[in-house]
Amino acid sequence: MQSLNKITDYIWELPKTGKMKVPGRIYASKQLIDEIIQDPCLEQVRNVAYLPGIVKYSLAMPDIHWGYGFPIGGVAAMDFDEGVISPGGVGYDINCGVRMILTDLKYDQIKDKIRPLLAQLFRDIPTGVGSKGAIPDLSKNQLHQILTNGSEYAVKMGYGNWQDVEHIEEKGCLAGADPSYVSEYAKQRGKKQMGTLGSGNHFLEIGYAEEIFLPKEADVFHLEENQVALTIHTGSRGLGYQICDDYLKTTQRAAEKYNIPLPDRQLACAPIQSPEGKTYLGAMRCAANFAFCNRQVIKHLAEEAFMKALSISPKELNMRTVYDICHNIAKIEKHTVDGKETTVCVHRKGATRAFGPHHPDLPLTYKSIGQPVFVPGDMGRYSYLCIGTENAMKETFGSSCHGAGRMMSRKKSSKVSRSMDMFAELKSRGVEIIARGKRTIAEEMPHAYKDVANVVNSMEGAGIVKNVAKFKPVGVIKG
Amino acid sequence: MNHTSDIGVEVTGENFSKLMENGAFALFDLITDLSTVDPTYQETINIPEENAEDQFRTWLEKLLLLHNIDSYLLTKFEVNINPDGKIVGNVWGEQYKAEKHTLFSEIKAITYHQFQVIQTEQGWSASFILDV
Repeated sequence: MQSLNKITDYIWELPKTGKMKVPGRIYASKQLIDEIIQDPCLEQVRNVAYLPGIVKYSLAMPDIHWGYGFPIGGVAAMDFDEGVISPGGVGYDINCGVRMILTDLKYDQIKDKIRPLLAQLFRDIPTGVGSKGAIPDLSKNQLHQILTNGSEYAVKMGYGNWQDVEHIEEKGCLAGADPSYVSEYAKQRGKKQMGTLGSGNHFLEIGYAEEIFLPKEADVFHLEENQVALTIHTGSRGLGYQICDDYLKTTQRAAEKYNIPLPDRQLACAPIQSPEGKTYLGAMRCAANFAFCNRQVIKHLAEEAFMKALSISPKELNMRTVYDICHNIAKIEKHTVDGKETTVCVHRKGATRAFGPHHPDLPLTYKSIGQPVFVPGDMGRYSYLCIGTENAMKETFGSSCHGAGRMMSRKKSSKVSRSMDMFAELKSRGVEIIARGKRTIAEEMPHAYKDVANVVNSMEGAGIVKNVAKFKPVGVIKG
Repeated sequence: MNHTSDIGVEVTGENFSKLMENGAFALFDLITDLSTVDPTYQETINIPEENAEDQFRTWLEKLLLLHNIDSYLLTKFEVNINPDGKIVGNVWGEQYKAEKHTLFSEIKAITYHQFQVIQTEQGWSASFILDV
């Protein structure tokens, strides 16, 4: 791997060489970049820069790590008329994302009840491989409605409320979703999984605000120290995986048809304006809507579980969605490129949207401060609530990091975990956990991840986000 | 094989049939404890004539669909290559039962990243990365 040029303390450039159409840019502190260069992910930043129509840079956020095709933590904007769309640039778990939820509870009110609270959540929210959906077997019409309308349909079915929908990226529904572009296999995989958390790195976490950095901005969230929060991390489940798999085949054929050389088959793509590109977009949006709906259903189940376990009323709990963001998505957006408004297709794979203040797509609540970006860390340390900035709009197509970023393979993490009592280790950090199996915990222990503080501080140092508050996890359920 | 985010698998076989059988076993060995799976259900899988890489991939994908859609856990695999080149696989297993089986990993898909099937001096070898 060739050397990187330092642009600022937090930006590193991978110079344009060979068939790269644009340079690469990596957002990271010196400490993080020294770790990043040890990983094969920079080769993937370079490969993405080969793709037709890529605008300005092949970008990487500080939580970047080795993916397949695109790096995880990669952002690439393609010209809407000349560029391509790549299912690999979105990933298998389409619209895997995070919903951040606040309550009116203070940590003192729940600190002696974490275990029963987790047990209730674990009972009520289908978790892990092979679990049946909260809505066990969706009818054809129900699935069609979900794929077309996303979260809105969940509310119509009685899950959550309109306040939630208002505080979801794209109001919980990507327009232009077309279920006729979704295969029967994908529908079969999805119909039994509505309202399931899944396994792997998916989780539901209870935490509280440990430190507030920006009190004025925190006021906008009605957020105070010690306030209890909830995070849901899951996506479009088997439906999204199958859509990605189906369209990797379609776009491999399309790449051949349109003479697009691929440095990696996983980077298969089709021109955005081609029939193949349009059908993928239509199907991908269906998966995105499924995921929005899934997180909506789970939020409702969590609310019921809290009320049951703590014997409190909805008013006392006041559980509300702060914001729900996508981690794996391709979106058609308008950005200013070289002083000109340009329509681009922004691929965010393991990255989030982080729009600055006054953007028309933000809900009224956040117009003055910018889009909330909740960045979960590993389950033992802390998570951050950040907000997007004007600078993000200028530099990263309004994008930021999505998490801590893995630095250890699952296998290596499991090996390290074997030498410790994992439950005792988490307990020493003040975290209770309930999981379907020990293997997932072993793979997901804090040592497998970068310190998320270094990640968000890199983004703040680069002026892409501002850190509003830090949250301490106290309870986790996993698959 | 170590991959930061996912699981990499390397598998060999003295011939292409064995490679397919071993690849399938590796896949399901990552999903569950195969010693708990009884081979009571049988299914026949036909693989269209393509190149070796596509055949190997299609085989694994079809088996993964049996698991992901119909909840089958498969434990025994027999692959025959007919004189006309057509590949027929017979697989045995049973449907997942929560009280009997433990599922280790949810395998989202077999990725194309570094996917490789090659003929070696000793037979055949394949490597692939699973998204989990």
